[in-house]
Amino acid sequence: MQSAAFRTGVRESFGVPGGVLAASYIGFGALAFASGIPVEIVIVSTITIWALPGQLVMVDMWQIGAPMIAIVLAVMLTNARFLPMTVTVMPVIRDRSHPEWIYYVAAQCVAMSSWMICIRRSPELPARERVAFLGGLAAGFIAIGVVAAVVGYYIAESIPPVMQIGMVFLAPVYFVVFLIVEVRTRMVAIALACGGVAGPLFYLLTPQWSVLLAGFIGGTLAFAIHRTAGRSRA
Amino acid sequence: MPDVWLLLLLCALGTYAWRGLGVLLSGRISVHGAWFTWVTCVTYAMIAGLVMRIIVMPSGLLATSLTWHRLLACLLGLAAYYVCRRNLLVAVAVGAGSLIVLNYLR
Repeated sequence: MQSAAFRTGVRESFGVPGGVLAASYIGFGALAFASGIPVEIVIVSTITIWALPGQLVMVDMWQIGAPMIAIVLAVMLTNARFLPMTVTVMPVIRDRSHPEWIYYVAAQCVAMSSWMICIRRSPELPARERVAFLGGLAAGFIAIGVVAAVVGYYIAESIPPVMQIGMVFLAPVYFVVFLIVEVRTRMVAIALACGGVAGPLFYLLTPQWSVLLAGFIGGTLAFAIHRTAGRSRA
Repeated sequence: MPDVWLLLLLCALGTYAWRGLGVLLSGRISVHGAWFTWVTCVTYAMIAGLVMRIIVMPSGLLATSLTWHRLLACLLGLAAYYVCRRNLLVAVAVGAGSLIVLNYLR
């Protein structure tokens, strides 16, 4: 049953991962309000971009007046991870009974939380129900994200600056904790260290291009260190 | 503000391009190659760079708080994560809450 699988997905989204997602999107909404971004952009970007790091990059760079080309390139570069993620989830959800276009819709459902849960839960489901399950997961998560972002936006608008400062700090603190506890490989640790140093440094040199350069140069440096270290040890 | 809508359109298309390309290429490419390792490095470096910059050199409202307060708040959030059985929600609440308190007591 496709609709039952969809509902299972929706139900699954309203768990602990949904709560964490809500907290981070409340923070995004507050940050967007503080950056002078209209609430419509908050809503539409959550549905269409559907990737918090990318949305954060967009809002932050827009606020400091970075050139449009720099913002688009930076957003694309932070979201390039969706290519390998989609490539790995497709064989899991493919089934002969579906038309090909379904997968191009399902691709929009690929984001960190739904991707992880879909990969983990799919072996328990019949192959033909997995697309609907992923769709249900994403529908639930996106709904949570949109509502949370709007709530964050209007809470930030209505509370005194003393409290607002904590709301604006939600998203950064979420990423600090999330990134640090997610370090499972040496490569990720090197990439975080290189990026963490490169971000503020490039900001001093060129604020408008700093995010793009920190990612590109810091990431490439981390990649080089990782490869060199790997080779010398082997 | 038509500019911000054009920007959003381009960002959304640019993001979907990776997802759509993923469908097209699935089954034909390996995700364990050097190119994907590089993409992972760049993704982590970019988000770490942005977050560190927001914490160390913020703009707007956050700039009215002290740098060491923001750093301490992050550490408290991280500590809360481990104390409260790896609960990310508690960590985020403690991190944001302690910045409010530190800033208020100043």
